[in-house]
Amino acid sequence: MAVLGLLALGACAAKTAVVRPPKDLSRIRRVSVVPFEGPGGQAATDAFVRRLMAGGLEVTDARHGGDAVLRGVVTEYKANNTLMVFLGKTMLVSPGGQSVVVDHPIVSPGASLAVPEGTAAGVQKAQVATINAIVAVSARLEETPGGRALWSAESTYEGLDVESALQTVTEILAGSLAQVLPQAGRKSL
Amino acid sequence: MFVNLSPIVIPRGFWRGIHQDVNDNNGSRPTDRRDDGLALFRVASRRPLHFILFLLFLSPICFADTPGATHFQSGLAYERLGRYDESYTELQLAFALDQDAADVAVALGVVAGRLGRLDVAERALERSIALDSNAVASYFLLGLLYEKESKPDRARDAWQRFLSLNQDEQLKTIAQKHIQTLETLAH
Repeated sequence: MAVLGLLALGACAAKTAVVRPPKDLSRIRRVSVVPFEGPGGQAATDAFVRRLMAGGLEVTDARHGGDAVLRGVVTEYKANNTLMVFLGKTMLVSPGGQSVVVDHPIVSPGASLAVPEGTAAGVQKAQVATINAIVAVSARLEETPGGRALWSAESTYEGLDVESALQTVTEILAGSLAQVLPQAGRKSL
Repeated sequence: MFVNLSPIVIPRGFWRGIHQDVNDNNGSRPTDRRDDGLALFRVASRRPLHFILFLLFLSPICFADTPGATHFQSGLAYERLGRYDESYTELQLAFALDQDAADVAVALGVVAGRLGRLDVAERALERSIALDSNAVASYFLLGLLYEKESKPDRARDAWQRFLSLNQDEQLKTIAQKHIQTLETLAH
């Protein structure tokens, strides 16, 4: 349990779903990366391969066996998540009816806050739409042969574009993987 | 070409003509409404037809607008139509004419960010928080921008400031996650 707790703390940016206390994983030098499933799977695969190689692991494709297999699924790959920016002082009303004036607020589509109709004196309501990207990846390292899970984690991240979101997701998951597989290395953002 | 300032339709060249005359007379752009007013009297003598059109068609609120405000409204109108290149141009003009308007700076930052002009977006958003230190959206966008530019310390500061001002629960969760991630990856 102590090991699990330590790993969860170290990998707090990623949601670690399965981390079993590993046996000796120092033998793992070569990881076979199976192309990730889902939209943006190829980009995610490429990002992981680059990151693992930079960390010092030998990486092969699915046809060439490795000491372990890395699989993944891109569960979200959205380039145009829209948020509204209200320009100037804007009154926001909570579901409970409480109102607050905020300078240039940014509001998510599902926000419980509402911008009341009509314009009060001195309160502007001009708005522009901004977009950001969201990438969510779930990855899993399996023992070969046998397919027993050695590590599994998922991470979701927002960025200005899918490239930067994917880069951070890759970095988070690689950091989490390095907790059980130090030879995967660590690299700061 | 027409600029639609609902409910009035104004020929686009009209403003350009007035701006041209103002620049010819002053050697510089008008800086406030009084300058604008004086310039218009000069325009009235040189371009009487334009001036009559101006009196006939412009609403009182437009009369009070500075050229910067006109470009700002045009920029927002283009943005609503999804014409981001034109919106960017208009907002840049508005920003050049009125560098002390935080809402212009925020709008330019948003549109520049959408077009991938990150250096312009960064400058505009930083200007907006210099003008209005409570500009919530600017901190959110700067957080993302600094992360993309691998400036984790600046990104963390922006997210923390955003967190202290933001009222949106979903975005609060996102900001907390970004701060946590930046701290994790920094060590």
